[in-house]
Amino acid sequence: MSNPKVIVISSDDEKFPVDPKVAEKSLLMKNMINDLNPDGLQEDFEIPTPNVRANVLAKVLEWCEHHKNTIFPDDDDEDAKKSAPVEEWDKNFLKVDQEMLYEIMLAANYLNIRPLLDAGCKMVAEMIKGKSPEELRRIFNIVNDFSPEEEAAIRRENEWAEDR
Amino acid sequence: MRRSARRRIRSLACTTTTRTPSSCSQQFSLQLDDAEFSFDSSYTSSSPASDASDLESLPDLTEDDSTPNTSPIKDPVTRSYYFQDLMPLKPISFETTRRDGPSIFEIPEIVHKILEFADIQSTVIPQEHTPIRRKPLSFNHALLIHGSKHQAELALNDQLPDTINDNYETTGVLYNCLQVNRLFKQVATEVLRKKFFFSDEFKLYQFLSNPPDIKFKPTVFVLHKLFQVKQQALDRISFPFDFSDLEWLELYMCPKLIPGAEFFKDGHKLKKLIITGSKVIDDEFLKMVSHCCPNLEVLDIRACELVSDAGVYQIAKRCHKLTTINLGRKQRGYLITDHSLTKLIKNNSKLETVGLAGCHISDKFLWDLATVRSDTLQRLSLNNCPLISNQSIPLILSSTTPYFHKLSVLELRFNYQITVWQPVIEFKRRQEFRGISLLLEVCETLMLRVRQQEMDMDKVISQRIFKDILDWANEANDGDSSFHELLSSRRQVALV
Amino acid sequence: MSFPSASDLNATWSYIQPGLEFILGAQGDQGVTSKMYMNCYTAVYNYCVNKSRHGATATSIAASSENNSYALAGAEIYNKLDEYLIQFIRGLSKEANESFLEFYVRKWTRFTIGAGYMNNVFDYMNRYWVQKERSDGRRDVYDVNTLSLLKWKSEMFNGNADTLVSEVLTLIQKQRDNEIVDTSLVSTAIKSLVFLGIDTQDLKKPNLVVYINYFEHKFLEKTGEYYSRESAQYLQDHNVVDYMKKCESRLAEEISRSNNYLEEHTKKHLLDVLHVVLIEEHAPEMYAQFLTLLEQNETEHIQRMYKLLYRLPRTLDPLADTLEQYIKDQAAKALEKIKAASETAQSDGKPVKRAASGAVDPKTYINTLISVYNQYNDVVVQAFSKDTRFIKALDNACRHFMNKNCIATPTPKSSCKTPELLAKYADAFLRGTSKESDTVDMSPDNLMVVFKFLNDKDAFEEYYRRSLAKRLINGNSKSDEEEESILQRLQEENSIEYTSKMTKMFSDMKASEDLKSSVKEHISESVVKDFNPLTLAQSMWPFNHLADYELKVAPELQDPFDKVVEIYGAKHNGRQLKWLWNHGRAELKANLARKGKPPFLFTVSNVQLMILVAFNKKNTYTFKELHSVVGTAKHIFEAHLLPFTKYKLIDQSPVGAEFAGNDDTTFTLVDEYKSKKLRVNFISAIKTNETKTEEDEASKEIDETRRNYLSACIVRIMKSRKTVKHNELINEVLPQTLSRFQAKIIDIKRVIDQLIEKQYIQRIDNNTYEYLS
Repeated sequence: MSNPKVIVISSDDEKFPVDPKVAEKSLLMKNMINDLNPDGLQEDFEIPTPNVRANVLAKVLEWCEHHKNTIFPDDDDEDAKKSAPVEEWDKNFLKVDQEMLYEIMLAANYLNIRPLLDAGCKMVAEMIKGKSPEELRRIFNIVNDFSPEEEAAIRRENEWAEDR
Repeated sequence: MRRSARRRIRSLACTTTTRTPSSCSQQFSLQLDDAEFSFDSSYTSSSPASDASDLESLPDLTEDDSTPNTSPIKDPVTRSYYFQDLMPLKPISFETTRRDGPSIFEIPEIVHKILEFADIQSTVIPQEHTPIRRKPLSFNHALLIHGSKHQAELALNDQLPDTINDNYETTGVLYNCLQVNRLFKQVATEVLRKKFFFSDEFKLYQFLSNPPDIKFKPTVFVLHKLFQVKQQALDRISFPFDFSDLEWLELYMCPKLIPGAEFFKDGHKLKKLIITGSKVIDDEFLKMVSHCCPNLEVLDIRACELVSDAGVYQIAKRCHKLTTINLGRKQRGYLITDHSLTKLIKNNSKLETVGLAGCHISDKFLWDLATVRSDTLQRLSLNNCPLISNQSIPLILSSTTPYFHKLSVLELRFNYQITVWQPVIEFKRRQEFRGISLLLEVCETLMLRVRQQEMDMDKVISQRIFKDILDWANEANDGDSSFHELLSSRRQVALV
Repeated sequence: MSFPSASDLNATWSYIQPGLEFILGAQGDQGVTSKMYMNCYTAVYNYCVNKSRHGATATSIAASSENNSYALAGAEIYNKLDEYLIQFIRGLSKEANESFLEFYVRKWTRFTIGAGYMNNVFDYMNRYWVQKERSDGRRDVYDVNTLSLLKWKSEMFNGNADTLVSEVLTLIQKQRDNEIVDTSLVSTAIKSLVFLGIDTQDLKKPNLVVYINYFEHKFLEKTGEYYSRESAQYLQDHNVVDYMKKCESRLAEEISRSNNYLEEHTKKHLLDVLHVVLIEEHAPEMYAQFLTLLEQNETEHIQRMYKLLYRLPRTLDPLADTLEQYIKDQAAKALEKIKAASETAQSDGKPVKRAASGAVDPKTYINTLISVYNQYNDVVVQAFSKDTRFIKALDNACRHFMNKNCIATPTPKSSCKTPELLAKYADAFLRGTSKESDTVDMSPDNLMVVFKFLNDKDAFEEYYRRSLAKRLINGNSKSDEEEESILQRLQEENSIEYTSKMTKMFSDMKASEDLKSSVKEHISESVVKDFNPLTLAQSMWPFNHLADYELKVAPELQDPFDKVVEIYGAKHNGRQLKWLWNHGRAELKANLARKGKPPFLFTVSNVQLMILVAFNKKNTYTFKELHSVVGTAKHIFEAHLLPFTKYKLIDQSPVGAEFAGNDDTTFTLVDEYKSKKLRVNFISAIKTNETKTEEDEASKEIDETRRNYLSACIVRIMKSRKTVKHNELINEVLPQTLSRFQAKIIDIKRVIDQLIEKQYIQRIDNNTYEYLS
């Protein structure tokens, strides 16, 4: 028998068998594999992911597959990691429509894949630059829960931060 | 452009129907049908916990004061686009529009991450512009440095390619985010309170007169070139701040300002302290800093002319992690001497940059520096140090021990008393050999001197080479036949 | 299964709880499935995400608006979890047939695994809510794993700590009593102590506080008691050597035990306790045994004792002292023995090699010293692994007994004879004429060993130089290389100045070689075949020019002598040469053999040479005639003449010693000399009192040099200090002379008096001296 695989099951019951190394990019799955198989993987191991749909899961696993050998710096490293721009391949990978991007980010958050989540956040952050609040609401489809008076008040109060 | 517009509108239409968190995924077509008529129901059937009225912000309604109950679909035309796009370009893409959970912009954790990245990407903290080379002092000087007239002109006018400031700044990112919605305001505030900086007095007074309701907990506190701002203003500003996370404190060219004790209460996180051009910073202040901030790494107190050996000594005693220290000044250089500096370099084993322009350090100090810190020192500025002489730098650099082997920048402007430059030139060449390109900054007169001596050195070498060749060529016993023999043999050949 | 409503706390919790029960304490053998795991995780995730999204409870809203910050959900779940853990832990109960320890370990193991799972299940909350709370300053909020441990500590551990620890200690004791115990219980229990010591300030740092306070102290105490008891009892029933073996095995056992399940931190303290209890407290017994072991030369046991005591270095000092004393005693005994042996030999009348002074043969003496040294050096090397303490003990002992023993210092006041004996020893094996069998166990190494310990090195230098001088001019040193190498070693050991005279002597010999070759060119070889003049610098060489020896050179031999003086005078203007007729030798070919046999070769002194050459002219001389031909003082002449008559080369008439000095006695050369050997040596038969005078001279030299040295020293000190108290002066002088000799205070006092007489210094008031320039 070849090496045992990890089978990730989407919310709509689609199965994705992958190499354990790929699955372990998600800390959640990594911890689960280690916890429930203390002696190492002996046979195929199924992991259901009830919050992730098949199409999103496919994309996420694609990313994991590509990066299965990349070593990401440790979690606690602050600024150096944060100010690094998004890698070329990741940038292209995330050039999907916005909905998909958000779904991927949600899935990365759910599955605890920090590098992917960070990449997505950086892309979204790029989109924020140079947009007025209105535009932001529009492209991100955000509900405005301020009254006009409140909005004006905020603008006034924070005039000092106009260039921030 | 059209494509993205299409996408946007599509998403707009789609998302409006799927705002209920607990609804299951539905077929796209169904949504379309419902969309026309049941907008309001799905609109208002958001989670019971929300109290405020949900206002949809449609693109063109921002100016409108009235809040419609049913938000009309603004552009019927767009819907036809919609229908036309029923042809699935990518079947998958339809399904991406279904979402049965919260949007990422509703999850504070994620919004926080996004805004943090946005902040990092676009916020520029006002800083002193550090050139690659200093600006030349005159046209002749520029000529000496760059060699060609054209370059000299450019250099004089600060137009050399690497001096042109090409920072592309985006401003107002967080400011805009503040206004998007409540959550964004909260998160943006959270991000805003981590950094505090001003380079514009007007804005500062705006801040003061209308202080926002934010409890600042900055890691960065920078005031840049605020010449007129008075101490009172700083006190008022900083009074409600929580400085326990402060890592970088900079008051660049704010002559009247001195940070109070509240800045340093929990000072063991402070790494960078830069206060230049201050008329009020003194030894007492440095003493307090040395007590409160043992982990200080960068200390830059240029042109703070009240600071003397006493203050520097306190810092030397307690701060052992310094990597950069700059005490340069134009006047009152006699206040900084070997007494404090020797202790400073002995206690800080990772010193990389030492700036001592104008200070009254002696040759002995430079020897101490060479013996103790050659393993880490990379940049050294000794502009205008009147007490150093030919006994220090030239001798140090010509010694057989490789002192200063990591030095990449050496500044010796206006030190006319140094007349021996061969060792410096040789040192520069040795550094080249080691792979380090040494930048030697000197003023015009000295540059001439350096060039002259460099030429003399090269002359000696080439004379030696020439002499060697001459000797070799004229050597009697090298097996070559003598000139006469050569001639006669040639004659014979010619005859034959 | 469908997920609970994400906004309903209770629903979410009741959904999760059964899963938690499974995770924390699975019933029977059922494992946690991945489905269950994921479902719990997802439920937590949903709750957190959705609660945050819609703002949370009233409290969190209030809190957040205070900070103007956003609020994350998690507090309620955290609290519920907290309560649940408390309940769960309290609910753990022990089974009837197991000890508390077993119960604890079993439950702990399961609990920690479960806590790990739980930590991952609640990971979302950990990641965001807990982090934010902690960075906002609420440090009493912890990640789930830490929370579980804290709960365990407060609910399970605190109440039962004593029982737990005492059971663990009982098990350890059983193991020490060689019973079989389950060590995994012990190691797990101890590890749990380490885990429970959480530093709430820095969650990442392992903290040994709990371990140390609850366990380590008691453990060390118990260990100390146990071994005190055991060791005392053991020593009653067994001897010390066995005790040492038992110690070693016990120590090894304890170390392996500590490696197996104690923390690194304890190791050092444990060893300290063990060392004190096992070693230090029983050190006196071991010291007592040490002497016996030394006597029996049980190197292995000594080594064992050394290794044991080495663990506690301060116990080694008494041992070193004992060794030193023992060596001194042994040496004294050995020397007594040989002294006694030589005295009995003397009184027996047996011929024994006698040294001129003292009754003992130098070789035996030095060899005894060496053998004592070697014997104990071996002990130090093998048993004590060259430990510096013991090397020092050996050195001290050697220094003591080599300089002060029954032979070297027969009376307390006499000066040490060892340097002299050592020089004689050296001479014995460097001289080419000594037989191989005699020198078989002598060597330069032995020489250097004893030299190192000499106190009066200058005395040795004097004696050695004298014998060296003789060897050099007589050309009978066995090997030049050996001489030079010894010189080199002496130089290294002491100083260049020390050997300067001897070095100069060697160079004089070389210079003489050159002189010889230049003289050779000028003289004919008719009479003197091989002329070897040696020019010696007067101050370096210990020879004196004796007027009594002034002889008249025979005319036929005059030439070479004059030439030497001429050539040398030309080279070195202003130097004076005086011939030392009392030294040097000549070889004479005598055609006095029977026909057919080759001529004899006589080795003779200078005086004897002149005598025999005179017989070339005439066969018979009267004493008076002969004396006037040869010259020299009468008693010298007589002494040199005697061997000829003794060996029947010259006939004396009338025969008889009493006539030897009469002017009229005639001496006739025999026509045919009878001797078995071809080479005959007449020098050895010359009897003079020179040897005795030489020795007196030598010691006088030594004293004089010392006095000079001391006065130079004192003057130097006084010059720099101007006024010095008496005691201070003595204290300064003593160390300065140490490299050459051991100065006696009375000598120093004498020198001071001399200097006062010579007016170099003067005495002011009772105790102080002042320098007079």
